[in-house]
Amino acid sequence: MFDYHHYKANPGDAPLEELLPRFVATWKNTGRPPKVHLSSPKDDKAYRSHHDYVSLDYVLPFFKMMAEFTDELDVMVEAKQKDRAVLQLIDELEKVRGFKRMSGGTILM
Amino acid sequence: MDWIHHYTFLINLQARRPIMLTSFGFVSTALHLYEASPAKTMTFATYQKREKKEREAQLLAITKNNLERTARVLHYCVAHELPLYRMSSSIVPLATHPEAAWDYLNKTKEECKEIEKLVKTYNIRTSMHPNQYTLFTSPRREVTTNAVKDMQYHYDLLKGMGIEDRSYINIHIGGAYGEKAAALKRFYENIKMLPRDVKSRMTLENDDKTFTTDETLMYAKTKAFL
Repeated sequence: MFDYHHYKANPGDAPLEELLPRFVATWKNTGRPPKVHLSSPKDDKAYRSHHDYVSLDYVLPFFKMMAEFTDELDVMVEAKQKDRAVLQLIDELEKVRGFKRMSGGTILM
Repeated sequence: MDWIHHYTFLINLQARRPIMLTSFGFVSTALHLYEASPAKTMTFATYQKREKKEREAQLLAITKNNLERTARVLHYCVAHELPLYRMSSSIVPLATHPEAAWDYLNKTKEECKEIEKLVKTYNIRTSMHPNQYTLFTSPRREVTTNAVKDMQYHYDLLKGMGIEDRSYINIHIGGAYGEKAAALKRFYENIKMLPRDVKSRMTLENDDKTFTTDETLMYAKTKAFL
């Protein structure tokens, strides 16, 4: 399970473009898409705390990089506003140029 | 949802850039629903104050209510076409308490069956995430014993719902306790205490303070994981 917010708070030395394919490989043969946790920081002071919603700007670079390594992705949104946060994020992603909403809960990126 | 995969395949054939089908989900409760939190609890202090019969009835009532709410939230996922859902770890109060642990599965079969039906009919990808106290790096033996117990509770509940083979139980490696290498060594040793079937559903996540993505991925490659 890869958590992008945790990675940003505790990145270690290896670059993300090297970690992501290794992460994707751990989901091979499970019959499931690789799964990640998404949240964004409350603010710079409480960087590790979850925000009420997920910031589009914070997660967009991650999605763009992730698409280089997998055809499918499962995303668990961890935000204080739960269902409201995930639906808001999907609404915002739908408006990104080149992205297409496929159903209530899926986006083609 | 098969048409989505078909469509994605066709787009992929024509695409000049990488294409990724991304599915979403959320954790525990739906705030848009009226009182749907599936994590109502009973403290051990309250438990001790009650007569045996009364507290048993109350524990069961709370648990049934949490399971019914879980089903309501699953209906919400279905209605919004959200393919993922993480269930609350607090569905069964005092499930692993040393003095209050109780047989919750036998009396909640109907509610569990309803959840199974929803998850399987609508192919919802379910998971659970024990809290940060469930870890396998501690030098204290009782911490590990409790971690095994808690993992077993998550697995048993999923099994009671008949969805253990299609759900994941996600944890972090744990704390460093001052020395990361020693903690990691303990993790490899302690994780052996976890029964094989429970371990087969375990996933590991990088954390925000101690074990990096690189370190977490290294464990995933070892045989201890299997």
